Amino acid sequence: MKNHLCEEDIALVVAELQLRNKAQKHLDDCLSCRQKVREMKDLFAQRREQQLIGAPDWAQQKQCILDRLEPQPLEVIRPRMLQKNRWLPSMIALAASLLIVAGIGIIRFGGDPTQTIATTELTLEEILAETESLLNDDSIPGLWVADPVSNIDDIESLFGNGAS
Amino acid sequence: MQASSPLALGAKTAQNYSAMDDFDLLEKCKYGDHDAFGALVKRHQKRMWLICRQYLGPEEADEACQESFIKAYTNISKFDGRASFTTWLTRININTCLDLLRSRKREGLRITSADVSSPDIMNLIPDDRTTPDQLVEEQQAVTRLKELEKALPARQKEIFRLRFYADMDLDQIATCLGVHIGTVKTQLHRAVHRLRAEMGELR
Repeated sequence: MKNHLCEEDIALVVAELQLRNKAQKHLDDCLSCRQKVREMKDLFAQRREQQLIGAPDWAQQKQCILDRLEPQPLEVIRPRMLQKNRWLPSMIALAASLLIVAGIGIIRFGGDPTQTIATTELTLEEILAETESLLNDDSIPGLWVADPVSNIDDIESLFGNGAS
Repeated sequence: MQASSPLALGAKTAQNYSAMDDFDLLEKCKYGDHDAFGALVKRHQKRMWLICRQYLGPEEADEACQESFIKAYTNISKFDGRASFTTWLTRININTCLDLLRSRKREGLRITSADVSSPDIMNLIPDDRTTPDQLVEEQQAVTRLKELEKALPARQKEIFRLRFYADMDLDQIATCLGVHIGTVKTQLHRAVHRLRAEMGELR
């Protein structure tokens, strides 16, 4: 590239944007183009220095900021669970309300609680009699009482009976 | 074994904080450590002030800068670490400045509604606020540049100033202004090209 950089390219370099390879190569070799870039950059740098006119005392500013801070950020004081789920408090309140309503409903419209005790058609005497008869009956399945005396000496009868 | 004096201990702590990165300091800030936040302020205050200055001028920049840091502290638990702390803080900073410009515009409208013709609040960014004495001392070329900056379109002026005077990189500008990085590059290039062309005409 023999020609000098065009104004567009100079602006690209000053703005620190990417330059085409050929243009970059020319810039590396050309003192005149580099001078143009440097002049513009120096101008911006001087202007930049002016920006600090009227700057505050940094230490004082820092102290002012720290003095204005709350003792602790509010968000940190709140439990982490509440921070993560912002619907949680509302849901807890809703669940509590539903429980209260359900409780009131049971108390008011649930009727006499003594009515809920199970009733039976048999009287107590009948139940006791039935139990007594069951206990007196030896023929309850699985509860045969073996006669220890009869056929005990007869080994064949024992085997014949299926005993091992 | 000698016990450390409170002064020496304080200096040691400050030294420790200055060695920590932003994320570690933020973790401490979340539990109310003001010294850690002080270290963050010290690290970022100059640049944040320079950004405020580009929008508001030196008189109001200090207040806006302080306000930005306080907003950052009170919302510190909302920082999720997706962007860097610098970007997050810069965003807060720019929003604070824009809020101030909006309120300034509202006040202006209330007083003289006819004076404000453009709805773009970026046009309310002051051009500069140096005193006449300082102006005299300035070099001629710098004065020219300052004048030419005034004539730049609002977005170009904003991007140009954030890049060159507030030391923000292109990615940060794009993120903080919510524009594509290509837009930032284009606007910056146009601004520099225009300034250079007009400086050349004046020479």
